[in-house]
Amino acid sequence: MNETAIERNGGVQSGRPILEVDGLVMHYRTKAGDVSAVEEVTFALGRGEALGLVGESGCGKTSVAMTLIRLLPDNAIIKEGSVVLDGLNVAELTDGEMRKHRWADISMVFQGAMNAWNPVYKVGDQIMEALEQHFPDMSEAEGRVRIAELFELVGLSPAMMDRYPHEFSGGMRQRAVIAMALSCNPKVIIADEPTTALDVIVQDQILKELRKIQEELGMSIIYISHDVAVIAEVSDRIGVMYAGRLVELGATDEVFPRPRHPYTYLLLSSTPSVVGPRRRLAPLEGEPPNLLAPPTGCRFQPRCPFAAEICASQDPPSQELAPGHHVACWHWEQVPELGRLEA
Amino acid sequence: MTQPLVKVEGLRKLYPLHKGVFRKPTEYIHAVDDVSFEIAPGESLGLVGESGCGKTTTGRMLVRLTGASDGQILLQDDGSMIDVAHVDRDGMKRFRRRVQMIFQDPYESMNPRRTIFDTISEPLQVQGIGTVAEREERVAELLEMVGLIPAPTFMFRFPHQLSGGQRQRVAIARALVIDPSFIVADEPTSMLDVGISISIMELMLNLAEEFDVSYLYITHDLAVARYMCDRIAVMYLGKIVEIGPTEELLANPRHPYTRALLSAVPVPDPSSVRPAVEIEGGIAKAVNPPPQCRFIGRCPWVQDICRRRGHPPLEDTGNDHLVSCYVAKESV
Amino acid sequence: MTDRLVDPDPSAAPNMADVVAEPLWQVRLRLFWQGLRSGWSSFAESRIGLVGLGVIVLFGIMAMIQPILIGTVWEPAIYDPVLGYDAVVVEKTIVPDNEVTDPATQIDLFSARLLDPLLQVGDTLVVTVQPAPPSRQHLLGTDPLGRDVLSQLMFSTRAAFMLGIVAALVTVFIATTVGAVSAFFGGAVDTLFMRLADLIILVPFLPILIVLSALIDFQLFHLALLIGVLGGFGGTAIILKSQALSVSVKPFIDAARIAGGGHLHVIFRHIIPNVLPLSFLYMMFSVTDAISAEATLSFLGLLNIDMSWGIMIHQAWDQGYLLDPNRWWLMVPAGMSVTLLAGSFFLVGRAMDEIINPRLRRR
Ligand SMILES: Nc1ncnc2c1ncn2[C@@H]1O[C@H](COP(=O)(O)OP(=O)(O)OP(=O)(O)O)[C@@H](O)[C@H]1O
Ligand SMILES: Nc1ncnc2c1ncn2[C@@H]1O[C@H](COP(=O)(O)OP(=O)(O)OP(=O)(O)O)[C@@H](O)[C@H]1O
Ligand SMILES: [Mg+2]
Ligand SMILES: [Mg+2]
Repeated sequence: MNETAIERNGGVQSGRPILEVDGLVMHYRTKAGDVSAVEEVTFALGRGEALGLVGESGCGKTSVAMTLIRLLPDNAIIKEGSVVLDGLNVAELTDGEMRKHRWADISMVFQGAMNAWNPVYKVGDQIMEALEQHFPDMSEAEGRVRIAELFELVGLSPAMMDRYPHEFSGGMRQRAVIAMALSCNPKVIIADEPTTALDVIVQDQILKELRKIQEELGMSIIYISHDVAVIAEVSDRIGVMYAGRLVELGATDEVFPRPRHPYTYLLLSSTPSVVGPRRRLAPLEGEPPNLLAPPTGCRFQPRCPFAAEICASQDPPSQELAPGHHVACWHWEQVPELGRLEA
Repeated sequence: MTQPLVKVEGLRKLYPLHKGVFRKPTEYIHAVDDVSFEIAPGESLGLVGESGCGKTTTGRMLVRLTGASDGQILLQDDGSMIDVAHVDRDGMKRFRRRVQMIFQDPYESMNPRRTIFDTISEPLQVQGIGTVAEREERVAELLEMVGLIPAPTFMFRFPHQLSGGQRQRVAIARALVIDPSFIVADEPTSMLDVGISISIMELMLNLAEEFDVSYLYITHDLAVARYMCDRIAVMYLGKIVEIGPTEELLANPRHPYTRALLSAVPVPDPSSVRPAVEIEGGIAKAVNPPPQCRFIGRCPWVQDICRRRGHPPLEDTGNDHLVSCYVAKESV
Repeated sequence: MTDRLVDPDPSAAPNMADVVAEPLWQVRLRLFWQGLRSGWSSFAESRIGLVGLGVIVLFGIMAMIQPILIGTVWEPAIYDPVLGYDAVVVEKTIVPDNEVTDPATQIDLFSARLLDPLLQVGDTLVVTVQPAPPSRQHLLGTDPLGRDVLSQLMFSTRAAFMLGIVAALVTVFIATTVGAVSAFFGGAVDTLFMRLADLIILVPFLPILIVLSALIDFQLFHLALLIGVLGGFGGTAIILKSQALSVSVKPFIDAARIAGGGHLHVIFRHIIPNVLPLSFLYMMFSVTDAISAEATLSFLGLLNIDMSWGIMIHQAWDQGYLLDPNRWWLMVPAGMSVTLLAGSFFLVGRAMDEIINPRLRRR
C-alpha cells in the first residue's frame, strides 16, 4: 500500500512522502442515513510540497481535513483506509495517542477561525492558553517570547499580542490564527479556506506570507479552497473533489492547461479571469448530489455533458494517465481543450 | 456619448465618527468623497475596490436608501435629467419604478415569512400596479425567465425552501418585476459557489440585454467585473482613482492601486506571470483625511509632487480612460 | 457563508395545475395551515411544552364545566361559589374534658356545655362544621362560610384565564407596536418610549397597585388592563424593540423600501410579522405574571372581586387557617392551582422559546 502511494506521488519529490492517504472512506451517521462525505480518497503529500484541494461547497474538503487531523464529530466514522503521517497510521490511533501528534506533527487553520477569537480575551493570552496545553513546562516569559516569534513570522507586530481581537483587521486576525497553527512547529499544516472572507489584496499578502513561511520552515501544506484561481496560485499539485471523491489529481502545471476530468474542465471554464482572452463562461448546470443518496455509478454523471450508459452503472476507477496525474472518469479522452466547448 | 441614463456629480457621504448628543461631531468618515461618473443606457459600470472603500455607500445613495451629504444624482427621464434628491412624491414614485437593487446576501434580503410570490410582487403591490391575477401572471413569467421552472412550484414556497442560488434568482426577478431601467447590484454573487455564481452572472447579462437595463455592478473581484461590465471604476477610500472601458483598463492599468489590485487577483492559470505590484498594509478608514492623495500612505511610487499638492483630479488619458494620479500621468 | 445546495424537498411544492386554478386567498389559507401544522409538530417534540399544555387544557375543562354542573347536579343555593351555603352536620359524642381522642367524632364536655348546659358525658350532639373537611357532597370540603371549595376553585379558573389572557393580549399588542415603532423610527420617538419603559420598570409594581387600589374600586378586568398596559409599555416593549431593531437592519427592509413601500408597509408587513413569534412567547410569560399578580393582590385583600384563587387563600388566612394542616383544603387547592396554571403557561412559553429562538434550537 505504501509503495503504491509513493508511486502515485509521481516522483515529484524524492524520499518518502510526509503524508499518505490511502482509500479513505468517512461517513457521517445521521437520522436520515449515512452521509458519504469522503469516499475512496487517495493521495500523498511530499515533503515541502503544497497540495491544493478544490471543489464546490459541501463536496467534503473540510471532512477530508478533519479526518487527517482526527478532529471529527461524534457521528463521523472512518470506515476504511489509512492515513500515514510520517510512518504512523493516524487513522488507527486512539484519541489519547492522537493528541500527542495533533498540532505538533499536523496542524490546521480552521475554516472561519478568524472570526472565532473570543472577544473578551487578548489574542496573545488565547494563544498562550493553547501553548500551555502542549508545553506544560513552559514559563510565561518563554511563552511570550515564542508568541512574539510566531507573530514576526506571520507578519504581525509582536506588540499586537496584548490587543483584543476587535482591534485586529480581518487579515490580522487570520494571521494570528496562522501563528497559532504554527505554534508547535508542525510538519504538515492544513489551511482550510484561509482567505475566503478576505479582500484580494489581503488575500494576496497572506498567501505570499504562507508560501514564505512554508519555504522557511520546510513544511508541507494542504490548501483547501473553493476557488480554483487561489489553488492555481499557491499549490504545486491540485486535487479536485466532487461529492466526496477525488476525481482528478495532478501537478498544477499539468491539470490547469489540460484538465482531464469533465468536472475539472467545467470548473475551470466557469472561472472568470483577468488574464487571457475575454470569453463567455460556461456555467455548471444542475446542483451537486445529495450525499445521503449519491447517484449510482459516477457521482458526476447526472451533470456531466459526456455521460454515457456505463457512467450510470459503474463507478470509474482512478487511472494514472501520466506519472502523477490521476483521473477517475470513463471518458477522459473526450474532454476537450479549455475554451473549445462552444465551438 | 448619447445622453447618459445616470449621471453622478461630486457625490459625497460623510458619517460622523461619534454620534455626540451634546457636542457637534468634529470627525467624519469620508465614506464617499467627490465621486462623479456617468452610465449610459444599457451600459454596465463596475465599481471595484477593497472592503470599506465606499462601494456600498455609493450604491445605496444611488437607490436613495441613504441620503447624500453633497453632490447630485441625475436620472434621465423622458429626455431630461432629473435630480433625484429633489423630487416630489410623484417623482419619487416614478423613481422607485425605474431604479432597483440586488443585494449581496441571498439569505437576508428576503423576508423569511413571506412567500416568493409576495417577495417578487412587492413592488407591484405597494405601487398598486395591476390586479392580483395580473400580478400572479407577471410573477410566474419572471420566475420562468430567471430559470425557476416550473414557476408555480416556486411561487408559494418560502425563502428557506430555496437554495442560495435560487434565492438570488428570485432577487433578480424582484428587481426586474417593474421593468426598471437601472439596477444597482451589490456583490450579488460573492456569497455563492463558483458554478452557481457564474450562472447568476450569465442570467444577469442575458436579462440586461433583454430588458435593456443598466447596472452599477459592485464587486471586489476584478475578474468578475471584467466578465460583467462594459466599464470599470476603481475606488480607493471614497475616491474613484481610475475609470475606463474594461479591456482598456485591464490592459493598461495606470494607477498604482489598480495595478496592485490586478496583481493580487488570483488567476486560474499557473503559467501566467504578472508584474507584482505589492502594496503594504490594509485599507484604513478615511477619518478627516489630509488633502493629499488618498493613496499616499501605501503608494509604491509616491513622489514629492504627491505630498505638495491635493488629491489628484481624474484626468483623461485618451480612450475614455481617466486616472487620478500625478505620477502615472507623468509616466505616460 | 457559502451556498449550500440542498434542494429543499420538492415534493412539498404544490402541483402546477392546482396553483394556477387556486385563488390566492385559498393558497394563503393553506400555507397558514401548513405553518401551523409544522409549528405544532416542532412544539410537540418538547415534553415540557406538552405537559404545560395538558395542564392548561385541564384547567380549561374545569372552567367550562363549572357552570354546567351548577345548572345540573349542583344545587345553586348550596354550590354557588359566592352565595352558596351548606351546613355540614355531624353527630358527636360527648366525652369528659381532656379525653378527646378523635376530634371528628368526639367533643369535650366543656365545649358541649357552652352550646347546651344540660348535656352529659355519653350524650350525642349535632353540630355544624364550618369549614367542613372533604366529603362526598363537597369533594374539597367547604370554606369558613360554608361554601363549596371545589366550586370556588373551578369558578376562579375562569377568572384566572380571563385575567391572564386579557393582560397578555394587551401587553403583546402594546409592546409589539411600541417596539416596532421605536425600532423603526428611532430618535425622539424611541427615546420617549424607552424612557417610559425604564420608568415603569424602575417604579415597583406592587406598591403602585396598592396605592391605586386604595383610590379606585378595582375590578378584575381593570387589573387585567393595568397589568397589560404596564407590561406592554415596560419590560416587554424593550425586549420586543431589540428584536424589531435586529429585524429593521436586515436587507429585506431595504428591499421593501426600494420596492416603494412606505413606513406603514415596512412596519406592518415586514417588521411586525418577524417580531410576532417572540411576542407570542412573551404573551405566555405575561399570563404567568398576571396570574401571580392577581393572587398576590387578592391575598393582600386589595381587589374588589368576589372570588378568585387569591381570594380563597386570603379568606383562609383571614380566618386564621392559613397554616393549619387540619384545614388543608382551604389553602392547598387554590395555592396549587395558582402555581400550576402560572407554571404551565411558563412551560409552554419555554417550549415555544426553543422553537422561536434559533440559538436554542437543537439541530
Ligand atoms: N457533522 C456532520 N453530520 C452530518 N453531515 C455532515 C456533518 N458535517 C458535514 N456534513 C456533510 O458532509 C458533506 C461535506 O461537508 P464538508 O464540510 O466537508 O464540505 P466542504 O467541502 O468543506 O464545504 P464548504 O466549502 O462549504 O466548507 C456536506 O454534505 C455536509 O452537509
Ligand atoms: N451607516 C454608517 N455609519 C458609519 N459609517 C459607515 C456607515 N456605513 C458605512 N460606513 C463606513 O463607510 C466606509 C465605506 O463603507 P462601505 O460599506 O460603503 O464599503 P464597501 O466598499 O461597500 O465595503 P465592502 O466591500 O466591505 O462591502 C467604511 O469605512 C464604513 O465603515
Ligand atoms: Mg469546508
Ligand atoms: Mg459593501
